[in-house]
Formats: sequence, C-alpha cells, structure tokens
Amino acid sequence: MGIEGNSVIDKKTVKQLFFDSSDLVVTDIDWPTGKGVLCYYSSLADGTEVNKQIDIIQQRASKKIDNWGKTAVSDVMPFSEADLVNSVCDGLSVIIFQQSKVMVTISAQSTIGRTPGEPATEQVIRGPHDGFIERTQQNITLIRQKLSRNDLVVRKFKMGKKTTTEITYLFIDSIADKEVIKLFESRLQDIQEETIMNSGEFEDYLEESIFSPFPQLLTTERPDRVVFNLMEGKIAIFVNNSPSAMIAPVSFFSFFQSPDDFNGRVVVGSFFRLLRVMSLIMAIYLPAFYIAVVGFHSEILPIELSKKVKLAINEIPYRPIFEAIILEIFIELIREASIRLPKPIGQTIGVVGGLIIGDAIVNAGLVSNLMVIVVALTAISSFVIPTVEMNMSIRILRFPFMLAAAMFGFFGMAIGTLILVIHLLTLTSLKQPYFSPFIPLDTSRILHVFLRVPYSKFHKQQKTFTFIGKKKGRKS
Amino acid sequence: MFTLSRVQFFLFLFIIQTGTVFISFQSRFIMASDHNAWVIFIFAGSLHYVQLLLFEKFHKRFNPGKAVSHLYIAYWIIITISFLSYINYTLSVWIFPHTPQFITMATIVGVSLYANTRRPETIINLPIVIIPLIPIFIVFLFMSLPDLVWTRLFPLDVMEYKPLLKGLFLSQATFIGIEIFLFLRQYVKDDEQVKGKPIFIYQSIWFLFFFTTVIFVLLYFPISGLKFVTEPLLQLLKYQKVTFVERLDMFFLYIWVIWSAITVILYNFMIIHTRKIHFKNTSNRFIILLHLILVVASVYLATKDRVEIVRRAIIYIHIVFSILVPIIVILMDRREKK
Repeated sequence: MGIEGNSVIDKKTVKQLFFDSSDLVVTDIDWPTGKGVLCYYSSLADGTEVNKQIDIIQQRASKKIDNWGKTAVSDVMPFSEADLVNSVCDGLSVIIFQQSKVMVTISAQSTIGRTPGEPATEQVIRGPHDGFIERTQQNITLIRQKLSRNDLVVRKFKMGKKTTTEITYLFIDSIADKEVIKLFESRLQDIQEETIMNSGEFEDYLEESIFSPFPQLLTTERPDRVVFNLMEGKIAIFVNNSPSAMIAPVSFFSFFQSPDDFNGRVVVGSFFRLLRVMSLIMAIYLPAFYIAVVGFHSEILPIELSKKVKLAINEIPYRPIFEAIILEIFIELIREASIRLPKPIGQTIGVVGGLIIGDAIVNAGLVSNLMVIVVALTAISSFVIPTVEMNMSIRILRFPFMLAAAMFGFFGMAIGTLILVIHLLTLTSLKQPYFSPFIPLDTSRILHVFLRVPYSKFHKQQKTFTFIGKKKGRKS
Repeated sequence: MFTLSRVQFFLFLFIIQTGTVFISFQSRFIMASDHNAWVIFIFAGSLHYVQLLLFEKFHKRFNPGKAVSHLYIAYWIIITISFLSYINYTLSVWIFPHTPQFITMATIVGVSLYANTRRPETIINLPIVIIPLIPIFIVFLFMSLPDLVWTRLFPLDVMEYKPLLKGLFLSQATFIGIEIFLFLRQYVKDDEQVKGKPIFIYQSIWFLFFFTTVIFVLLYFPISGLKFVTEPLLQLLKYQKVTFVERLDMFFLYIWVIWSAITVILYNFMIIHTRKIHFKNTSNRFIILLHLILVVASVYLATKDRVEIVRRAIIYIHIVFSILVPIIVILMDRREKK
C-alpha cells in the first residue's frame, strides 16, 4: 500500500517511500497552520537556500496572505505520492501538510555544473565561444539570451511515470511548421521507455531509418547554431543532463554548414562551403577512384602519370584494395586511440602513428607512397565536414565504395553512387525530405546550399524546408 | 498514390525517352537518311511536338482498362529487356569482356529492385540526378567541335521519298516512351499548367538534345564509315584529346550507365505502378519475379545479332503502342461516353 492509503504521513512513511536513502533529509517542521514534514535530497537541493525560502513562506503564512505558498520559487498542490516522488527526485524540496493533504514544493536546487565553454568539437574562428552544458535550464537561458522573442516556445515532456527523464523542446511558433510539431509531439507520446539516459538513445525513437548510416537529427553543442536553426523553423530538443541539442527536421546539407559561414564574408563563406562539398566527394570517392584506376582503368591516365603509378605499385605484394584497407584501418586506429588518451599522449600517438609507422609501412613495401597520399587526403577531407556524426558516416561510406571499385572499377562506383542516391532520396527527417532542396527540386534554395548568400541582397524567411514571406534585406 | 509537379513529370518523360537510345540510334538513322538526316530529324521533331499536343488535348479520354494496361505492361517489359540486353552487350564490349554477363545485369537490375521497393516519391524524384550529368555530356561533346566537317550537312536529296520515309521511321527510336505521357499526366498537380509553354519547352529540350547528337555524329564521321560504328558518340569521345585524361569516353560511358540504370528503374516503376492500379495486392513477390525475368531474358538476348533483331523490332511495337493503341482507347472512351 502506498503512502496515500496511510492515515498518518510522518517521517517514517516518507523515508520508507524513498527506501531510507542516506542523502534524503526528512524532518518535522512547525508551521503556523499546523505541523508539516519537510523532505529533500541533500545531494540535489541547496540546504541554505531551502531554509531561506522556508522562512519567507512561513512569514507569509503567519501574515495570512492569500496563496501564501505560491511565490516565484514555490508552489502549492494537492498531496499525491507520485507528485511527491517526482518533485523530490527533480531536486525540489517538499513540505507535506498531513492535515490539509497539501504539499508545498520549493525550487532551490543546488547548481553543480561547468561553465558554458566552447565545445571542443565545434570550434569557430569568428562568433560566440559559448556552448551548452549538462543543465537544460542554463542551456535554454543561453538560447533566450540570443533570441528574445515572445513566440519562442519552450515545452517540456516527462518520460514515463517513475522517472525524471525530461525532454525539453523549443520552436518559434510563427515560423515552425505546425504539422511537423504535431508529428514530433505524437512521436514523443509514442515512446514507451521509462528512462532515457542520453540524446543518442532518444535519437533512435525520433529517426525514421535507424539503420541508415546518415544522421537524421543534427546534434550540436553551440547555442548560435540552435538559434540559426530555430530561425529556419526547426525544432531544438534537449534531453536532461545532455550537453547537446538535437535539431529536427534537417536535410543532408544542414550537416555541411558551419556558424563560421554566416559570420564570415560572403566570398570566404561561399568558398568554404564549396570546399566542403569537394571534401565530401573526395572523402567518399578518392580511395575507390584510386583502386578503380590502378585495378581496372589505368588507360585513362596520361602516359607519364601512368608510368609513375605503375612504378610505385610494382613492388607492392598486395592488391590495391588490401593496401587501402590496411592504411584506412591504420588511420582509424590512430584516430580512435588519440580520442581515448589524454591530450598530450594523444598528440604523441598521432606523430608516432602518422609519421613513424606510416613511413615504416611504406619502407617495408606493404603499401605504396601513392596510397599513403590518397588515404591521407581522404582522412583530411573527411575531417573538414563540420559535424561529427556526418563525419563518421562519410568515413564509413568509403569502405563499400572501395569494395565496389575493387570488384567492378568505375562501373561499381557508378552503381554504388546510384544506390547511395536512392537511399538518400528515401530518407526523411520528421517526414521532411532529407535531400531537400534538390529533391524535391526547389531552385530557390539551391544557391543557399553551395553559397553564403548575402543577407542584404536576398533574405526570405525559411519555414522548415520552404520559403515564406516577403523578401527581407537592405532597404533599397 | 502520388502527385507530380510539372518539373518531375517532364524530367521523368525526358529520361524515359532519352534512356539508352541516345548513344546508339544515330548510326542507323544517318545511314538510312544520308545527308538529309538533320532535315528529317527537324520534321520528326515537329511530329513529336504534334503528338505531345494531341496527348495533352486527349489525355483525359485515355482510360485504359485492365486488358489494355496489361498490354502496356508487356510492352514495357519488352522495352526494358531490349534496353538491358543492349546495355549488357555494350558493357561486355567496352568494359567487361571477361565478366559473366549475368553479374553485370544482376547488378543493374538489383539497383532497380532496391529502388522499386522504396516509396514512389523516391523514384519520381530520381531523374533529377541526371540534371548535373547533362551539361557534362554536352561539354564532352563540344570538345569535338574543331573536328566537325560542316560540308557534310549537304548535299540534300529530298527527291527520293523512300530513304526519307526510312529515316523518319528510324527516328521513331527517339520517341520511345512518349506514351508514358498519357499514363502519368493524371498525376500532375491540378494547379500546375502543362499545356502551352511548358510542353513547348519540353519539346525544345528533347529536340535540341537529340538534334545536337545527330548533327555531331553526321559532321564527325563520314557516312560510309558509320556502318562500322555502333556507338558513334562513344567513338567520337574516344578520339578526343585532353590533357588530364587519356580516355574521355570512359567517363561518358559511366554517365550513360547511370542514365540507363535510371531509365530501367523508371520503366519498372511504370510496370509495377500500372499493375498496382488493377491489382491492389501487388506484392513484393511480383516485383522480385519481374526483376528475375529481366535478368534472365536480357542475358539471353545480349549478343550482337539478337540485340540487333530486338532493336529493329522494337520500333514497330513502339508505333503500335504510342500511336495506334492510344487512338483506339481514346475513340472507345468517346463512344462509351456518347
């Protein structure tokens, strides 16, 4: 039987409800209206602040002020076991009044968290250098500070009945597509899970194709990036205790934009966008192209170059595909090792791996110099992509292309490309086309994919994946 | 069901019509028409435009029943098999002389199977992939501009009507797929205009595309030498010298492979979709069976002689299904309404 069935709500029953946890503070408290029981987790609530607030509320009760329990940080509600558990687990302090069957909740949580520093994986040269932290409330503050408008809506959703997993989502009401919001909310309602520990887990519930290598939600730790996306009618989602926001719906090309593009000059921003498109092509196709040329189509090379390639690969005992796989796996090992190790040692691993072992592999005749150049160029190209998830996906994609090139040469690459395009066309992000604006074709937005278009010349309001409203820009 | 925008509709039609024929039809057409080829193609282009206008005018009366739809399904299967066997034969000559043909065929048909088990939206948007490839192809082609012999445009001989008719008949290869206009027109969104300027623009693009290839082949190769050149555009590109690669034709060949594979996907989509209209329970089993048939039949037909026989026959069948059958269906619909 629960506490609600008990005729007496005292310290003992409350302690039982929380399994007599050692960080639970339960104490009797005298109140002008009768006796109460105060309870909170000392690990979550700030005891000093709780005392201060109790004094204020007590004075209000003594003065018999109407709604004495309601202040900026406290609330009054009918007593229920579920609400008591949820509130205390959320870090609130609760005073239970047995006689009147009400409880007062006081929001005075202790604030343990790091300062909002620049995220290591999304650094920019020009622009704000703050980043999200593990506390959703502070993250929303960062967004509100940048986007002070009344139609910025913040909504919260609690997962399950017994947990404190909270999903917070934001959108701009006048810009966001109502259908997309509705779909997102219905997906939230459909989640049966009680506890979601991180944003990656939550992604699985939101995405339409979880086995696709392509991320269908953009994850970022940058408030300015979230603001840019909110201004384009997207939804930003926070899972509590996660330092990153997820943005949906997104297109394939959203992952290739960096805040630097918007802060930089038009020509510079456009140049770097085009460079990223080129790096995408190189990251996927370069090793496959090399394998196809060496293995099948050496006749396409100019004769002088063809001679050099043949000289370089003559002494290598393995086929180009094995050469490529050896080096690609080697590069992945260096990357993985340098992430796990402390920074100074990670750099050493890079030097030892990249220079010493790389040189030794070539001298040992396991791979050719040309293959080292190809694989190094591919690795550098893949790191140019500004989002980590897409970066990983693209790096994985080069393996099937290498296999296709090893089996069929350019024909394999052509067929692989077709399969890749069909897959991209099939993908959706919250039912919005992933390959937008190319498919369905929207010529008005194609320019924005490749170039940083001047704000003063052309600036239409984007609504999810379409443009609405009149042109904005400089008054002519 | 799905809807089409005007752009999606015309792109679908363009890929279906250009498909695999655009690298090969020129040889036979020019050999039959001699120096008159370009004039005949202008006339053929006019006929194509008239046919499009008539299709637009009467498309609402084109309501094929179950039997006629199945005839079209059979016709498209034959067309797809003929395309595939030609692709197969060309690939075995140009790239994979030692690779078993069923492997290359199964690869291309496998892509079609994958695409046709996705959403219809995926397939109707697929032709957009070709857009960036068209300018590349045109640039490659224009590299041969200095080698063209412009005097080959003349002399014209329009006194003999038999070669003219034969040329006109062979130019029908470029019309193949036009009947799909009638099938897909109903899916174009109501607020998107098709008649008038859009049809004219489509007609102009179709005409310029084929006419350019005819002119380049006519001016590049002596007519007497064309009988030795089965894929004139590939040969033309093979002879181009650029500094960055030795064999420009290899790149074009793969553009053509993608173009052809998409055409096969679109034809199969038409087959599956038309069947779905009459048999709501069209299952994946039918789709798999269809693709198996395509692999087996195209591998069987992929020899020089068989490919040639099928390609000759296909124009006759095309005339039946793009002119005769639509006329009968439209007239019967009119009679029923009366």
